[in-house]
Amino acid sequence: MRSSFILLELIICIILLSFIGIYTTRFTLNIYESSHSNLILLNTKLDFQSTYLFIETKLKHALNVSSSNNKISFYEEAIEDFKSNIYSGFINLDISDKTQVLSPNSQMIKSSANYIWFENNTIYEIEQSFNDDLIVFKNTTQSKTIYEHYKLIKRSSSLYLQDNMLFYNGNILLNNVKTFDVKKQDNKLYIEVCQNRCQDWVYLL
Amino acid sequence: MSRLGVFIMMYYKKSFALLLTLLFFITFSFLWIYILEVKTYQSNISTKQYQKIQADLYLEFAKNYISKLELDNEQCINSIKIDNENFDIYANFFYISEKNSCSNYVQVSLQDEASKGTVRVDLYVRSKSSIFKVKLHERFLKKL
Repeated sequence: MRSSFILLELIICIILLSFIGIYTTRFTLNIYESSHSNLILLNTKLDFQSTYLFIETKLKHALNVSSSNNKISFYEEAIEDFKSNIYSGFINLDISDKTQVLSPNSQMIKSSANYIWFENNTIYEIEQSFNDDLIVFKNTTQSKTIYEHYKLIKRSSSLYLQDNMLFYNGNILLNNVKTFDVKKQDNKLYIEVCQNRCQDWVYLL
Repeated sequence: MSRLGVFIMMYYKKSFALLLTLLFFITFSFLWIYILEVKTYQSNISTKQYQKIQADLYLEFAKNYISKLELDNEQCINSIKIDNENFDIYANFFYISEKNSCSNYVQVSLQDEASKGTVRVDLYVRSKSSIFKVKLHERFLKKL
């Protein structure tokens, strides 16, 4: 009698544990699945976010930005040179002419920039300088409009969509991109980018 | 069933339940750790994003504030600091002008009356948080 009671107790215990086990496993698996899909979503979001931040950093120091359907072209300011005191960004207009400009407190010998940009969005080609304070124009005969403040240009860059990949100067920035629509309005750049999900980005130029 | 048989059965039932409990406990612990990891990761990203947006806003505010400052005075402003609970906001000024009384300057002779020179501003916004470190630096020029 006693042993059959223990056996019954054991069976009930196993049945109860099985029920608890099955439901807890199902419940936890549901949470695991939702958490896993959340992680995938988060990674996609992160990819978008890092691409957004990369483009934001590039456009923050971009000059003469132009756009077509799925391409953004711009000139990149040599901001590292500016922050490292390689050029001061200031021109003494009294001692400048169409052949060269004097930029006090600069170390132009160290600069590898090829272009100079002025406030009216004009860009002129410059030569490698052998004098720290002098910026020498390549075309010395052309008349120029120069301003007190200037920026040096590092390179001409572009962001474009090709074969479902977003490229920055030939390097892959984002994979599996289905759409990359760019629209420039006033001083704002609107981008619609889609992978499996879509995002709208707005940049102030 | 003998007394020994009953004892063995009771012993096995207890150890079986204990083993099963342990197994459940270990499995669920792993799952919960994974879930918690994802949650922490998510909250970490949100906090970093929030800090970055805040720092950007403070940088923009300080930039606007400095651009409205009257710097063409006899007395030089060499640096400014804006008090804030969560961020260190400060700016250093470097003068490229005819002035020679400032701590940071390079003197240039300017004959054109329209030009008084320029100020190079180094603006910094640094988070005070020991966990989420955000430090932004912007350099820009302001006409005198």
